[in-house]
Amino acid sequence: MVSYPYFPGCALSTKAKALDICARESLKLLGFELVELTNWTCCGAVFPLCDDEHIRLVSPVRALFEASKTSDKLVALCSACFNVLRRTEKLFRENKERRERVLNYMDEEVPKNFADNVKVIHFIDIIAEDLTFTVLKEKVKKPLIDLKIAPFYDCLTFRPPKEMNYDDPENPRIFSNFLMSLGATPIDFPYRSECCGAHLAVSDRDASLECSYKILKSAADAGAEAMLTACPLCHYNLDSRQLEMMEKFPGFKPLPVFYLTQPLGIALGLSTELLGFSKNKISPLPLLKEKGLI
Amino acid sequence: MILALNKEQFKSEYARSIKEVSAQKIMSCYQCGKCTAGCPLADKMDYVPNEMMRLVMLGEIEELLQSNAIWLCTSCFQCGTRCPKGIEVHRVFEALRSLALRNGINRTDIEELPSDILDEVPQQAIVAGYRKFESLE
Repeated sequence: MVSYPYFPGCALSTKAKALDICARESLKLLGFELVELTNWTCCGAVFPLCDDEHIRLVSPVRALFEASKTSDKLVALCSACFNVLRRTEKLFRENKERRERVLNYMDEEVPKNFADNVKVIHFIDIIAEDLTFTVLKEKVKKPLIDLKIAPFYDCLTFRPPKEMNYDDPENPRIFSNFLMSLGATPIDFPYRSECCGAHLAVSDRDASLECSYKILKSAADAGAEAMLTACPLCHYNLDSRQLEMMEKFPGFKPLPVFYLTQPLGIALGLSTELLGFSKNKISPLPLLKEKGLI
Repeated sequence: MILALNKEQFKSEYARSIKEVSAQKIMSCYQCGKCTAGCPLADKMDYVPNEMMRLVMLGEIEELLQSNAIWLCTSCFQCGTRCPKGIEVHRVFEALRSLALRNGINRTDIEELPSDILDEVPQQAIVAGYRKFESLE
């Protein structure tokens, strides 16, 4: 079994457990193992955008250092963690001055000469590159035939392109290809790369609700029966707040929102308990029953 | 809004701070408006992204510190992704927000949110909220 160091992050350890459990259990069935870092702290949730914020890089650097002890890769799955870790990795490789400043804060923890050769990869890269979608297709036990899922390309996984360097930021395909290899029908929709409102959920709740509503409506109008996201915060905005949308926007029809790893779990035959649908506010169970998938 | 060019304001400490902290070539903005066209919150902002860029060029920083625009930016990076001049507009927004927070201007009080919201919203939103909306001053 091939194993990778893994940074689960705060949300995946608590409020977004289904995303984490389906990832670990599905990968086991495919011959891969995610090994949680022994010493990790919150990634900081947002990458520091001011040029004078050095201390906020300490946590992601700690994770890169831990991973470097056993591997040249570090796997993230939460979009926020992936964004912060991947940008930190690039900054450390390219900006010697900031590297030194940050390491000055960490002299007892991280040696100055630590080999920062760790590449931060996304969970889906294990499947896309190390396994390949062609092989995944052969491993699928229950193809998701006739299930129309709209993949949502969250901001944090794909932008900013200069730093993330991940897929095509204006026309991303990776989640669609993933869904196709599971037998599902991916639905492209105009709002697939728009922002869900993100952390405005704690400051301007009406504004973030409207952002998420536009995304869901766009997907439903394009014929989607469900949506897919890799980001715990997008999942909160897009799934948990649909009850509010039903009150505020007349005619709004609820749409189940899967975590990235749930359709994988269904297709590989994970038990309903491990799929963790009890946390979805809009249950995908009626849809899955209708399609004969559970 | 009528603006008079003011050399002192243009070279003020605030204006210099925004340029330094954002580390962007602000003067290369030629007002094409692609940042605004892509911004998902532009329709709710009092100054849309390209107007914000123009005001920063003119040194009208205090006006921006009082705006709602700097608090509506979600750092989705669409503006910076589409800028033909390679300006990371989101970093200019962050510099303004950061300057406001460092001057004690507060946007929100996360602890006052109803407990049913705090129980459900993922940690990344709470941590991001403290980082981007709450002043430590």
